[in-house]
Amino acid sequence: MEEKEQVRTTAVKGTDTARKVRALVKDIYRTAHEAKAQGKKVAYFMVASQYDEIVRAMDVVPLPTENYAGLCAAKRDMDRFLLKAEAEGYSQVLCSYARIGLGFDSVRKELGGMPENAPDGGMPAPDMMLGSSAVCDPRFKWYQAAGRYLEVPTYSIDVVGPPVYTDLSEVRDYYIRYQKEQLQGLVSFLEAQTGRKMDGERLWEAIRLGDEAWRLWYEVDRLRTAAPSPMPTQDHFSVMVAGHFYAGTQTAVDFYQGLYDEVKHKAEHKIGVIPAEKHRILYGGGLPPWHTLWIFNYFESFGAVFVIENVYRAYDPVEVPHHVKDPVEYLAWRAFLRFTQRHEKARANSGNPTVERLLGMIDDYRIDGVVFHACRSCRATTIGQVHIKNILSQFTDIPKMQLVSDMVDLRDYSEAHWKAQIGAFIESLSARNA
Amino acid sequence: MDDLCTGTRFFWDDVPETADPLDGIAGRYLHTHCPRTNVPQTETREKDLENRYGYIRRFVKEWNVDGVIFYIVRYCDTCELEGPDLREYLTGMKLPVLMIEDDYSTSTIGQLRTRVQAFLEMIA
Repeated sequence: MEEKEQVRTTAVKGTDTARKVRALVKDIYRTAHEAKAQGKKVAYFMVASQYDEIVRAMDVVPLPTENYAGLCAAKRDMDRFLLKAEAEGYSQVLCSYARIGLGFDSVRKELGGMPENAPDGGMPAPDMMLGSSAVCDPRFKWYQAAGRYLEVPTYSIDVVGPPVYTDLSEVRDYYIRYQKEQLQGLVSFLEAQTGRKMDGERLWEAIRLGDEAWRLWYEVDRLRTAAPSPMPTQDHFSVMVAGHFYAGTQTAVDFYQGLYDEVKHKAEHKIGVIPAEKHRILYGGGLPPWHTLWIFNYFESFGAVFVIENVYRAYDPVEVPHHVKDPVEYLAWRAFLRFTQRHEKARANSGNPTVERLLGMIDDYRIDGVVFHACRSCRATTIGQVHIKNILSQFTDIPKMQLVSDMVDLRDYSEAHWKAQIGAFIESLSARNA
Repeated sequence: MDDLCTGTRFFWDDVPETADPLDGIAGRYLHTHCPRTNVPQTETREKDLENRYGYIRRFVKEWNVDGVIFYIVRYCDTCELEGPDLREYLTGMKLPVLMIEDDYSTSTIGQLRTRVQAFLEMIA
């Protein structure tokens, strides 16, 4: 296969640190190939499953299949995998991350090796697959389906949080006990696969590193309240790689420390993303359009900067009680506290934790307008967007817009349509600011 | 015979008579044949499919089934992920399978009628 000419899809970054992420992404797949060659265990895994530190502490090399789908889209090399999955019977409305993953697995099996010119060297066949129900149900089910192409052990855990109108003190212990059982099940599975016992001290160390990275990441986002914006949303979609794909490692901590230093410097010296910031935009939700990230620069050409976003860092740091001495129980507590951190506020106000988060951002970041991204094949982040937009409108009259496409499937995207919508949105922002 | 969430999946299996009735009810709901219920993996793919869909084999045998229509409601991702596996299992039993993907709208009813008629003619 001839190498295709690379279409520009990525955005110009605002920070130097974000430009270093490309190397981190390449390292994910390089490390996985090296691990396979050295006989180490490699696992397909799902981000934000609350089990990252367990995987790290067990010396299992994580291979994030969703990230690979995003990478294929950024390289505009997704069609051959999407079409392969669809030819095998998977629906065109099934999660496109899953379609790319399944299509890739199918092609690799058919060829008996890596698909030609696969982005970043491709994903090696894993030794196991670790699914989870966190965020959405395809993540719980995808790896079972991948069993068509990979006869490797698969383990999916349930990741749960209570609904908003719940007496948290009444249900807390049940949720934590259940979550701990689920995580403990994963530990036992990994022990069986690797032939070694979990080292509690190593797990604590991974947790310490994971928490420190996420604390620094949170601090970076607090610095982004500054005007002009020191770091835009397109950078967030790069820097999230450290928090999600390197969670529980020193690499992530060092990365966010470097990012913090740079963003702090920019904020203190009023170095903005663009010279003349006119409109401050909140990315209200939905997965990023990996196929067309330069669209953020298009907004900037009108003086509109995305200063903060509500995706891929869904929770702020939490304080697990000191009496928790078991690391697996700590992870269960942390998950519960993360998932419920806006419940009380929501019950007292809008009734919706996501709306509370958005209202907080609109206030803290002095937001002029909100943009949502509806992804046709991502129910989890798309269903409810209009509802959230409507509730939000009861509290603020700033302009809001919903763009529609998909996270990776370009067939659902129309550049002309988006540009027309963006033009109208900028006009309404300008009219308000006039 | 059907294998629908609103059909046999809902009422076919009894609640086991456990010492604590709540255990029985919980077990019954957790083992319903909804695609969201992840049946633990078994050692080979063949055994895995049998473990997941063996109850359908029993339906097929007992009701002398000649063909299967698999109707997937769009955007039910767990059902969509099940589709190719279930088709593989059923075709492995030499059963003709019609896979239809649709939503709840009525605008596609004409197309559906044509496809179902063609399928029925094929298996007649």
